[in-house]
Amino acid sequence: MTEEQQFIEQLRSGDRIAFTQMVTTHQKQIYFLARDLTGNHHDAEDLAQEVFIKAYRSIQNFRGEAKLNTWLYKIAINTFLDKRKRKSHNMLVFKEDLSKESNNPTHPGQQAQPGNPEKTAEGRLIQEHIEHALQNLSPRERAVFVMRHYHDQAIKEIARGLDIAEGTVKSLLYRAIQKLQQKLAFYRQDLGLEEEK
Amino acid sequence: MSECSKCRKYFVDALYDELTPEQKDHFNHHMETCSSCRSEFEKMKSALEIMDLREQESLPGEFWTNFQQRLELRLDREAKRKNPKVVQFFSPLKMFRTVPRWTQYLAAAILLIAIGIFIGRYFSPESYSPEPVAQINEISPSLIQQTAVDDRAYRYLERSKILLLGIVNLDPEAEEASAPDYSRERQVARSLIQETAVLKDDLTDANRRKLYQLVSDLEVILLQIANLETENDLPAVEMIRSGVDRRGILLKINLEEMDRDNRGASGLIDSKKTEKKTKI
Repeated sequence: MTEEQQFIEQLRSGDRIAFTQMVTTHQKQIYFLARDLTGNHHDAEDLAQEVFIKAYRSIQNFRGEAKLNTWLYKIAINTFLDKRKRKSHNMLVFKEDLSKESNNPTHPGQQAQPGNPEKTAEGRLIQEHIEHALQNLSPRERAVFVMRHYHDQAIKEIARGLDIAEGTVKSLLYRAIQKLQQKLAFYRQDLGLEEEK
Repeated sequence: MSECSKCRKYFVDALYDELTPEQKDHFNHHMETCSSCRSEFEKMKSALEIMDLREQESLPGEFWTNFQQRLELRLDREAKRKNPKVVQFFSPLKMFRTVPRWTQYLAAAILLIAIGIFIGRYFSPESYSPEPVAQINEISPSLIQQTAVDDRAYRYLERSKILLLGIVNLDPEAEEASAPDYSRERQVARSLIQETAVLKDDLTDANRRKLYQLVSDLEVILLQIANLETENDLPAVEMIRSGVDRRGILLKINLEEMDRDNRGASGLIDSKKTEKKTKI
C-alpha cells in the first residue's frame, strides 16, 4: 500500500487529523481555483470551505482512482457550476452583494502596493481588464479555461473530472480563448504582442 | 473538411503543447503554408500571453490559519447537527403543567405585573437612564480631524458621483451621432485622481476600510475617464459604464451617503437628548 493510499484510508476512516492535513496541503490550490472561478475573495473563500465540507461528507465515496487534488478540483467545479445555475434561476438575487469586495484584486488585509502610484494604478487597470475578460466567459468556459491555464490540468484530466468528452473540453477552451482574445485585443499592440506587418 | 478547419481543431492542443508528434507534423506543415491560420493562431497565443500577466492575490499567513479554524467550526456544527445529543435535564413547561391550577394563575399574574413594570420603566418617554450628561464642549482634536476627513471624502464622492452619472446616462445613439467631447470629464477626473492619493492616505483607519475600498475602486474608473480620447471614444466609455455597473460604484456611493446621513441623524438625536437633560 502506497503512502497516499494509506493516507486515503485514514481519511475514509474519519480521522480528523488526516483531514486537517489534507486541508493544509490543498487549501491554497482550492482557494485559488475558487478565486479564479468566482472572481472575488469572499465568494472564493466560501466556495473553498464548501469544497472541504463536501469532501469531508463524501470521503467514503472517494475510491482513490484519481489523485486527491483532482477529486477536490472536481468538487470545486461542480459546486461552482451548481451555485451559478441556482443563482441564474433566482432573478431577484441582488446583482452586486455590497458586503463583498467584488471583483476586487486586493484583499482587505492587504496593504496598498508601495511605489509609483500611477504605475500601481496602471497595473491595477491591466489586472482589472484581465479579470473583466475572464468573468465575461460563461461559467463552463471559465471553469475549463482556469483549470487548463492556471491550474495546469491536462485536457484529458479536465474531461474526466467534469464527466464530459475531451472534444467538449477543447471546444469550450477554443471558445474561451477566442472571447478573451476579442476582449483583450487592444492590449496586443500596447504590450508589443502585435505581429509586425 | 478543409485543411484549415482540420488545423484549427488542433489549435487548443497546440497552444498547450498537447499534440501528438504526428498531429504536430501535420499542424506545422499547414501553418507554414497558410497565413490565415497562422495569424489566427498567433492572435490566440498572444491572448494567452496577456492572461499570463494576471497576478495572483497574495494573502497573509493568518488568513490560512483562520480559514482552517472556520472550517473546523463548520465541521463541528455539521457533526452536532448529525448527532444531536438531546439531554433534557430540566423542562420548565413540563413542571408548570404538574403544579395545581391556582399556582399557575398566581404565577401568570406575577409575570404580567413584572412585564408591566418592565415596560413602564424602560419604554416610557419620560424615563431616562441615569447616564452621565455628555460633555458637548469637550471634543477631542482627533474627532475634529476625523470629521474633516469625512467631509473631504464625501465631497469627493459627491463630485465623482456627478461625473459618473454624466457618463453613465449619456445616450449611446445620440453620442454616436454627435461625436461628443470628453475634455471636461477628463479634466474633472484628473483633478479627482490627484485628490485620491491624499484621501487614501487619510483613510487608513480600520473602520474606514469600506470607504477606502470604494475610493480605490473609483481611482481605477477615474483613471479610465482621464485616459479617454478627447472625442468619440465610445468603446472606452462602454467599458467605463460596465465597470461602474459591475462594481456597483454608484450604489456604493449612495449607501455611503445614506450611512453618513444616518450617523448625522443619530448624532442629532443624541445631542437633543443631552440638551433636554441639561435643561432638566
